[in-house]
Amino acid sequence: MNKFTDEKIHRLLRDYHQNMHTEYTFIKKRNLKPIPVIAACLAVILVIGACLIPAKNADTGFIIIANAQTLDEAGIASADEINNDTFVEIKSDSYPLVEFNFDFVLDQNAKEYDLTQRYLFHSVTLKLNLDVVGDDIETITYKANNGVIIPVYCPDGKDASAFILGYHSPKAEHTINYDEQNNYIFCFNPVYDSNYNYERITKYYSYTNPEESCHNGLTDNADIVISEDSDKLNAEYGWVSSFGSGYRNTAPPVATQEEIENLRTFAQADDMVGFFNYQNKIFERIINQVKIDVTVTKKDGTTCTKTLQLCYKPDEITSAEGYLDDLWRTYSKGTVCAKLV
Amino acid sequence: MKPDISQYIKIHGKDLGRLCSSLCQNHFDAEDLYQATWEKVIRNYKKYDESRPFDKWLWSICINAHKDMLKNPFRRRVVSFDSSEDLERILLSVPTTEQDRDDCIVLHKAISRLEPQKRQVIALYYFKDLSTAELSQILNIPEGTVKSRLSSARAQIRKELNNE
Repeated sequence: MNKFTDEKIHRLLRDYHQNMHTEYTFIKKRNLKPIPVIAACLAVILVIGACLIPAKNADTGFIIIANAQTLDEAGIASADEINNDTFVEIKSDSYPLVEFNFDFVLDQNAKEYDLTQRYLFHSVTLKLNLDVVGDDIETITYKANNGVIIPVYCPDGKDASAFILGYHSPKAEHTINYDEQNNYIFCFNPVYDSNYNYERITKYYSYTNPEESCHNGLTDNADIVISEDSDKLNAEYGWVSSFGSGYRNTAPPVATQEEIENLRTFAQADDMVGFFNYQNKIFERIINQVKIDVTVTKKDGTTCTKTLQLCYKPDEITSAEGYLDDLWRTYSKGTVCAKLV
Repeated sequence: MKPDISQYIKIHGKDLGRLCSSLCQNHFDAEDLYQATWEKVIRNYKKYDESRPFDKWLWSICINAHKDMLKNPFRRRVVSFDSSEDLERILLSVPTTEQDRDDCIVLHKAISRLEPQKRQVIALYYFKDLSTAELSQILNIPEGTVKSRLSSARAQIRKELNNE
């Protein structure tokens, strides 16, 4: 005689499935899988120098969540192209993602700023939230291919982990503890000596008014004039020397001379929509050259580096309103994304 | 506007955990499957059609993630040496009487030996009392196929239980 009737089997199956374990962790606890042998071999061949010990690095898989637009939306890459251990999270930001920062070299007798005057781009600000999530991570090191990274502490944690991206600047890197990553703003600044710049701006934002700095725009207080006349400007404008000693630099501005001339043409024609759209194109050129190396060091000492290629797709601007603020910063509008390369 | 995904994780997280446990039959694979499913949800959330119930969409994604997991030649294979210990990991509560506990272990072994396709049907059918029509939509197979797999899976389980 059969011990298990259909009815009993039915009941057992229902009880069994409804009694299943339900609590699983998401993201924070991640079981890492061994890397396929073929992929490991290819990695050794193709990524020489990227990771010194591929087999070891393969175990340190981590997830990068970039609070920008998804790769799909940006048309940069499909989700399938993202490595299995990574993904990009969408989060719309309440503040402008991108800022162009420039100053005006004024005629000595000028009473007001004038866009038709000579002006110089000195930095580009990109506010890109970035977060690394993974198992047993001790520290995260960010290194820019063409920018100085400056961490700024945001006491309230809001709008944290932004980047200010520069251009033509020395390489620099900064390491933070895994648990503290959401408390920092990272800045890339384009022009001068990385150590000097780093110390000065870090001190300023760390000890002066960090909370305000986090939300009101860092470069407002970190302006640099790129000009042969910088000595003169330093003398004339207190904000330059307010950091201490005046400084000069010879690095080129973020925009080329041709781009500046073209912008001036738009300004002189009072075509501010054209001006901001053209500015957006300059921004695209600059952002698309930026790569950030993200190195994760785990508690067992193993490390792995992944590189984020930033990309930018400008939106078409149809009205100039709102793209220039009282501090004479101009804004752009577009989609920023980060692609793992 | 679509709700934040975290809301769905809160509402359906436990049910998804239960389904993952049923499909994988071991705690470690279930944990991987649980995470893989939510990752897929996050990646594809903008494609989610709100006219369709979220839970059904979630189960479909979980089933597909499970298929991907099984296809992966490098996936970790976990074999337990102790059925009791295995049960304690996978079940919220193990039956206390000896007879019920033994029945549960036998059932667990029988389900673990089912082919993945049959196990998927059994898991979906019993974990939320879904109908065969709903299973047909989630698995994207004809309802008749669902019924035949269900019947075949039950027959196999019955045979194994009665042979023990």
